[in-house]
Amino acid sequence: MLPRWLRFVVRRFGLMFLTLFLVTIAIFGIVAAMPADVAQYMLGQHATPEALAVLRERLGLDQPAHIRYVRWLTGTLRGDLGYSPYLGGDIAAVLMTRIRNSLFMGAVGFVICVPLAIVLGVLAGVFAGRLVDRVISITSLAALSLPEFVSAVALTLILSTWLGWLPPSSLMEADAAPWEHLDRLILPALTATLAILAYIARMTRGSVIDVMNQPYVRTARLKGLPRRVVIFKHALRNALLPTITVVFNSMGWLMGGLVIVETFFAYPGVARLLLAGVERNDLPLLQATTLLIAVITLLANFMADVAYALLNPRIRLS
Amino acid sequence: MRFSNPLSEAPTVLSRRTLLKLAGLTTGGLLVAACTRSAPAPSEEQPTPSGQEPASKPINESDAPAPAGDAAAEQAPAPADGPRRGGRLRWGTAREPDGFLDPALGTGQPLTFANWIYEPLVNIDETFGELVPRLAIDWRAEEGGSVWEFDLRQGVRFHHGREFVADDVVHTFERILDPDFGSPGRPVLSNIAEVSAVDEHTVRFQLVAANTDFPVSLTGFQPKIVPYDLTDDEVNNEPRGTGPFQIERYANADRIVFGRNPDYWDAERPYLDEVEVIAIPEATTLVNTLQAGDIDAVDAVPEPLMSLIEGNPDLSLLFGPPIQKEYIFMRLDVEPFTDERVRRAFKLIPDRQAMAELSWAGIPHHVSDDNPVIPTNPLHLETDVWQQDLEEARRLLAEAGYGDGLEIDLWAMNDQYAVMEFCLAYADWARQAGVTVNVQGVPSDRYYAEKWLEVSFGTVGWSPRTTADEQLRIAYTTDAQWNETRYHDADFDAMLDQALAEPDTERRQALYAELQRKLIAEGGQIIHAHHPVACAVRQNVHGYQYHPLDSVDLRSVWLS
Repeated sequence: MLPRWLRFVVRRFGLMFLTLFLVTIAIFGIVAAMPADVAQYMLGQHATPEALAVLRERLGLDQPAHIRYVRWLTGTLRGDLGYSPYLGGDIAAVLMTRIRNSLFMGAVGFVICVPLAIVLGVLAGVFAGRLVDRVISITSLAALSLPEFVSAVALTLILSTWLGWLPPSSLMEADAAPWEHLDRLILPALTATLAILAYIARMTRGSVIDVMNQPYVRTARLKGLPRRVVIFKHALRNALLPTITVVFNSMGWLMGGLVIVETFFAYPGVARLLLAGVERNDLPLLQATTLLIAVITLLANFMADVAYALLNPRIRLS
Repeated sequence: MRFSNPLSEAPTVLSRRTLLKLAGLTTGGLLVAACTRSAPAPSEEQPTPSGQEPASKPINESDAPAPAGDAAAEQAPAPADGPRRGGRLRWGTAREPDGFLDPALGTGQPLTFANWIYEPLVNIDETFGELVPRLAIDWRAEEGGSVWEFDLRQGVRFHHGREFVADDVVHTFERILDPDFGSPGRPVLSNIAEVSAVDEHTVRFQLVAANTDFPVSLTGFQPKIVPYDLTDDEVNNEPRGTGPFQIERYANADRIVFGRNPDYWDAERPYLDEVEVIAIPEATTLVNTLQAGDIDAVDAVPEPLMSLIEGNPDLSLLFGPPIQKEYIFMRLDVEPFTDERVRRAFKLIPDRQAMAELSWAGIPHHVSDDNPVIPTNPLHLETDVWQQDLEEARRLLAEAGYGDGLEIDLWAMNDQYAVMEFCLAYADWARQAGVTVNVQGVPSDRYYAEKWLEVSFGTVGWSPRTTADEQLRIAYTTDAQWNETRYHDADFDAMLDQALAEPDTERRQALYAELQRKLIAEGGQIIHAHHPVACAVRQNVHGYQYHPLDSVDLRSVWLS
């Protein structure tokens, strides 16, 4: 008999695969329903019907949809993501470095924004209603409502144009190691995670206020413990619990924001490939990148569930 | 390709482009402020050869806008001690390459590269005024223009070492003309009946119908000479041409590195050792990156971002010839434009001079009199038919039964700053003539896909065509695929065919003049201006010249 927590993990893992399977059907269905034609794109608008037919047959586009779906799925499982006319080669060869770049940028963003968000959130929570809280709350609300294409321009203006601290774009070769170009990563990473920063700060503030009003914290204070000890030893532990879930759940949000951020800063990540696929009707590329982003989002959600369950025993029982 | 290739404007990347443009303007102003602060630095940091005087004045140094109608292209300033060999040019573009290097298969951006790797027999200069020999050194017409012979340049080698011969030319054209191959260049070249090698260095084209412009049709995107010993896959994936550069690295489509061809037939050129193509899809970021010094040149600068470059002493804004156009058109086969009086009224509404000034202030443009033939074309006819006359317009409309007013939608590309500007100006004048024009904005890509050939009153952008014939044939003949105005006139069609086959220069000129006069008077196009494309380079880049087909002829570019 498996321990209870392991059973929970296994069940969640299984559910993730079921979701993933449904997602593949959705992606394939949507792409198949699009009025775009890869063969037409590859040959251009002057292509003769004969040439189109030959290419369609070569690409297997003449087969019915369910056969194409099974082919795509089995190919993907084998690691063969197909041929992209935009990339002029196999998608699988390129996708891994691209996803590495995107994840690395996301990681840089989280490293910057999560500690900052927690500090801001705790400050606002502890000093709720005071000036510090007002400033933090209003700023974070504004940051939360800014779309990436606005915050990208604003941050470029402040950090690159005015202050000259950072380069205005994250130009680098796709195969270059992104950790060697950290200065080029900060601006896009900050843009991509700005809204998340604000969100986490607000979440943290809320739960700090919540916890500070709990009887046990009041007891600790009435016991005469210093305020510092009450906050750090008693309150924060519980207050930060929801924050962890928020961090993992934000990864899905992050992947969405990357489409704009990577394009704006010309960063060679996976989301820029996604946009290129959309713009050029490069359906194999579109399918592969969408699927990959879906996998990352699902994995992040899975990790959020598991982390929360491991940290909070009450969840496991329910 | 996302939409039909005659359209001059690059498609937008994000639908928020308008917003970003505004943001870019703001950024621009601030960048200007930022550069002014550090202005004294560059002259000390970058010592340049002594006694250097710019050979021509960069546009951003002149206070007064260049005069309208100035057809001369601006050149980058060049130090007096002449070109220098070596260096790497980092060439930035907002258009991402899309994987095609086979010239015969492409239509857009990658052809820039195809022209660096492969070469045509004949080139055309950047004003589309004169032919320039490339792999052919001489050519002549026989049998009244139905047979053409080309003498080929000798001692030219492909990148893989083999000598270039007449068989390569035959192979190139047979490939393009093969219907199964599906080259977009086939329709333009379908007049070729047979290509044959007379000897190793002479080729002969037998045409179906006489064409006095035939050499010009060899300057298009597709007919670049590929070696006969390469398979189709190799032409695209491991390209080997005779061109000034060869591919060193093709990395993930957003970065391509070209290296100098050491055996190029012009011993002097190219000057650059390497060219690195860097795609930055967002124009604001592209220009910011140029400003920051991470790239050396930008292929095209959208007009709202030009101020960013003009205020920066490190950068030069270079204008090509005024051969691009965006304009308003009426569809002649639908109400209310079926009435000739309404057409006249609509053509009398705008002040073309003011409209051009509005959309292209400070940019060397050419005010047009509804003539689609580019002003640098030797056959271009200067006329003065259409002047603003709101009273007459109002009278004509009343006569046509619209005395109580007329309301109509004008469809425009709302991500193109200049287009929205001139449409709103037109609407203003129209109101004074009793016409309510509602400007309906649609993003370019959707506009061209859904609206362009459907709407009765719309806007369009056209990239220039190399010949007057193509310019007129592509949009104004009865069976033209892109005839947005539905101008259908059998006399016009016949006269166009006659002009193309006319061997006598004077008679030919007279025919083209008549064609233009007819179209200006009767057509549904309201073309107020021809304008240039602007490129931007850093001050150490010299000899940079915009070219409408190749983006730039890199052979003359050098770095100091």
